[in-house]
Amino acid sequence: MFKELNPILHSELRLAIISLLISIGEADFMYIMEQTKATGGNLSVQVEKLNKAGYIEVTKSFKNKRPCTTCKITSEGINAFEEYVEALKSYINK
Amino acid sequence: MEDRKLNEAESLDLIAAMIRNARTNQRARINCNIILVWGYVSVLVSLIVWVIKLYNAFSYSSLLWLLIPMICFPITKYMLSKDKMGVTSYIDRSIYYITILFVVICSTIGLSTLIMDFPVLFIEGLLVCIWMIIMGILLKSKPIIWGGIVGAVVSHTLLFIPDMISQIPLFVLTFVVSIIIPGHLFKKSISQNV
Repeated sequence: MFKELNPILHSELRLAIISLLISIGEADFMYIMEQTKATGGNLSVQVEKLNKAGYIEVTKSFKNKRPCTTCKITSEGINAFEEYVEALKSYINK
Repeated sequence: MEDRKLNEAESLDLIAAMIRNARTNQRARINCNIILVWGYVSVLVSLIVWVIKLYNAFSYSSLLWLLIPMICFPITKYMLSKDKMGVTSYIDRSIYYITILFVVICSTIGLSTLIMDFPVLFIEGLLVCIWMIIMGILLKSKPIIWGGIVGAVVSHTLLFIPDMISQIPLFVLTFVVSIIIPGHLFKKSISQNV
């Protein structure tokens, strides 16, 4: 029996963002952009979707007088990622 | 990278690649420099206190030890603000809060010597070593863990020295073996690990 893959995470960029944040906890927008090689516009749309789903927390602040957007994974995001990996396993072990 | 659907194998590959990219000890060099700042400032301030006590120049010279957090905290804050890494890992956050906790405990214990008498340098030395052992475990650095253990042994010898003036050189040695030497060994190993 295959488990359903979470549609919010089953997208290349959103999965990349969550996978990054799973291992580091918190990162700024520029770092995520660098690691995922996504464009700023696309990334901010996907970050907003993850934020709306409650999987990440977005904080806007200033660092060295420059605006800085920080993304932090939430416990809900961690649970969703774990469930996603579990669901993936059921497909891989078919 | 785009907003496209992946197949199962691609999803797993992507997760593995992202986790590989986000190595958790990226801040190792900054954390290491911060440790060294605390080590050198502690040694310097302790030596100043020792000299003042030796010449009996100032009766509340022990209060000068409070200079350690007063100097190191702003430097730590400055070093963290200059960090362009853009990442705060669970390890970084743990190190930050553990440092605050230990500094508050050490300062409180230091201040309480104003109202009661106890082997303060032994307790402070031991706390510094426990702090370093915890840092070593978090940073996965054997030199820092072992430095902390050796420092804890050295700090125990403070119990056998009766007066504070004679204790201070050994107290300084605690900082050297538990912070400065392991800090430099850790820094040397960073380029191979990161």
